Amino acid sequence: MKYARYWLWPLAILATALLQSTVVPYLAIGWAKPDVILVIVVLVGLLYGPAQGALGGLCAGLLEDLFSGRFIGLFGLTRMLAGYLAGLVERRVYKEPFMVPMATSFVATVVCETLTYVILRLFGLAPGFGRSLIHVIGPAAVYNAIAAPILYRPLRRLKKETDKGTGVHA
Amino acid sequence: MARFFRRNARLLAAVGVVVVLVALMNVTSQERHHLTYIEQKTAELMAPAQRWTYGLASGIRAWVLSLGELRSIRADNNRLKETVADYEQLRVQLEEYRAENERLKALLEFKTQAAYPTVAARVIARNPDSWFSQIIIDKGRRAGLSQDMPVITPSGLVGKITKVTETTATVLLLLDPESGAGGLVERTRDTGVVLGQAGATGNLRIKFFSRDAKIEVGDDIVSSGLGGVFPAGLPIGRVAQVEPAEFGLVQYAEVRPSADFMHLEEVLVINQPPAGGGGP
Repeated sequence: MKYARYWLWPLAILATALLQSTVVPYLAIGWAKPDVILVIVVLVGLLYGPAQGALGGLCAGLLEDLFSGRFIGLFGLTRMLAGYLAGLVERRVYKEPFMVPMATSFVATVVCETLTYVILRLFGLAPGFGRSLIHVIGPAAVYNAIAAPILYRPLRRLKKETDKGTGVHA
Repeated sequence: MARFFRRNARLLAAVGVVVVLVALMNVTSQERHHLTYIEQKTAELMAPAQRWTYGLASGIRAWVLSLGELRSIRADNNRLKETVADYEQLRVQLEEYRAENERLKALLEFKTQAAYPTVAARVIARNPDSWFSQIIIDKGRRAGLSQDMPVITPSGLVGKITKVTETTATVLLLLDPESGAGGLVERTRDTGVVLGQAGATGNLRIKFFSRDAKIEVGDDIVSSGLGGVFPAGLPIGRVAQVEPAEFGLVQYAEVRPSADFMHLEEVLVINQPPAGGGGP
């Protein structure tokens, strides 16, 4: 029962996926909307490290793939990379609650969405890079960077909650 | 050998996962006629929650929008704050009903005028990512829906059904990069294919079969009926920009869609192939 509280994470990711497909479209400015699932993955990496970030990203991405019902593995792969990259920051940077989540989320979104673009381009489905940068990658990076510090505190609290009784301290 | 595997276990696991994901992507990128068991069950399990959350978000949005409209009235009627609040709540509710009533009336009017039998459905979710464009509606196989049925609104063509469960259906919007519909310029009858684009920009592109197609900004594009999925004559959009044919054999134009893809709430599904419609 040591890790029993970790079920909260899959629950949080499932709830986020549900919100992403129902509520988040209402937050869109033009066609740009935040990718809360990606932000959560980045923050998991930032709080736990690269291995957990990659695992969280893989699970959340595969769930997103199931919701999309297309290219199963596309978001699993790109979110896994985002979680891993954010996890690398966890080891190197002091975790203050504002600039670090913001900058990490911005960079991870750019890398992750650029990889998504490259894969879609390989399948002949993406338009020119400039267009994707203006309409998807750029707005998503800005939007996610704003969302990251807002979600950081509740997730850090969730981490403390899940760490209780496991002997791990945040 | 065993030591090599032990030492590099994490790296090998990561490589293995990447290989499996790429293989999965490759397999699932092909057009599929059936959902896997996991996809089917996920869609069915999530549908009630999606329906409820989407409805709630829609209500909150209406409430937030109404706040802006009523700011000045509130200032003037400070002493009647409580009464206004009561009326406000009622007004928002009524406004929501009125808007819904108007939408449904337009839909019903269109439905009775339409030459095809249709099924009305509500949008309960959208795709979570920013690259694809699809919606999930609250009607499925039980309501007689099946794959490839066209989806419309009174203002124009929306897309087609790509996946169906018992109670929901996934609609691939015209905006999606994998979407394609036969279209023609109403004025000149030049034909082409209307395509979506990854990373929704809100606009469509039409690729003309002839580089000499005579097309102008403002021309109306309607469905041609070619392709056999969409009936002919449904409004698709209006030409916003013409891209001159440079070296290629085809000409492109940017099309602003007739349907309001950003605010889709109710749609109609044509649940029978149009009479005489459809070609090769």
